[in-house]
Amino acid sequence: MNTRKTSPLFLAATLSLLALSNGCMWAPELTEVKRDIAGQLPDVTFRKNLTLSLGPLTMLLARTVTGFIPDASEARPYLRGVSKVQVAIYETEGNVHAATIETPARLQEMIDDGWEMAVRVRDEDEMVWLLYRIDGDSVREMFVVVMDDEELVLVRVKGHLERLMAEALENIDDEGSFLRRSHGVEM
Amino acid sequence: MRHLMTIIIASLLLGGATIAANAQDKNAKGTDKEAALRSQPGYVDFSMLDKMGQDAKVEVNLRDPMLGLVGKFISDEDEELRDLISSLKLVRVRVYEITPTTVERLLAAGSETATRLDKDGWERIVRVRDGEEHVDVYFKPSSNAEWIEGVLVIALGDDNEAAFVNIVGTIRPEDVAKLGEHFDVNGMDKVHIEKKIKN
Repeated sequence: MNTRKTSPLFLAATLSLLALSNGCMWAPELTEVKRDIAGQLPDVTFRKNLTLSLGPLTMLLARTVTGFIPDASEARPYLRGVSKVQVAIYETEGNVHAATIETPARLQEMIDDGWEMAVRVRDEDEMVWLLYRIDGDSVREMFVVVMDDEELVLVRVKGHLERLMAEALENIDDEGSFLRRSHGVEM
Repeated sequence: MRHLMTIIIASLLLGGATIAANAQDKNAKGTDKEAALRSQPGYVDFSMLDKMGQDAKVEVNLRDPMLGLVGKFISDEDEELRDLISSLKLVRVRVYEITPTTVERLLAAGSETATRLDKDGWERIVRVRDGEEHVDVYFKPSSNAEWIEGVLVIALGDDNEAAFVNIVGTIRPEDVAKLGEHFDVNGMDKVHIEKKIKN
């Protein structure tokens, strides 16, 4: 029987490509940020609820599927620029004093490495960080961390994200505008 | 074998040097960008807010080129607004919780800022004092009084929050209200200025 011996290099390259296309190369940043926040809140229990990693092939599929579903078609323009999404959601239990949480070391490292912090909210019961990275003439990456008294959500998105970023900034606040909190008084 | 070791060591050194050079380059670029923004006439140094002795509850930092890139999508219907946002260089917001202990410090910081702005050629165009509500809106006119190069809004509300908003760019006076409306900055949204702001 003549069996062809597979080269280990070829095997490694194929596995890497598959992993990348499926998005299952997990971003360590998400885990590191969660670990840092959990370290700052020793009395709070974090239970993993969802981890999701979508790569270019899965995103292509998502874009195609949303094209056929009338209610989902609104999401299509935002997905157009997205090539990779990683999400981690943790349910939290315990007394979350979000205002006391310091910027996680990993986020600070990212800022030192050229990421920009667009938004930071430090409310009594809610914490938000929105970071982005520009490469050339495009917003190439976005990292969002949101924590309230029920859950911690971490999202990292790659692609050409101008449209998505605009949407995120418009909706960073429940009331609709990212600057709505800057209001002082009615005149 | 010796050659191989030499090549490996040289590669490691070269790699290390490249990483260090990249890191230095990134830091230098970051500092350059920051310095370029600070040199803008409409930029207001928020370091006086450090005297508040507390962290901001909300921080927003949007700068060029991100504003330009995102501006294209911020308002699909209003082309004028899109161009206006794209032409901005910086939008910064700081919101603080006011407590009885911080209100004094806040008023002192506000007063210090007012003095500095006055010295730097800024003009206060809105001043509201209504009970606990205070709003001041300052503009930095361009030297030919055709444009506004910076806007600063200081607002203390009855909701125990104080907001500081600094917008830097080349803004047409008649667009100030539009910016205020879009960013929902009360005090700015009802400002209507004629083309010539000062003779």
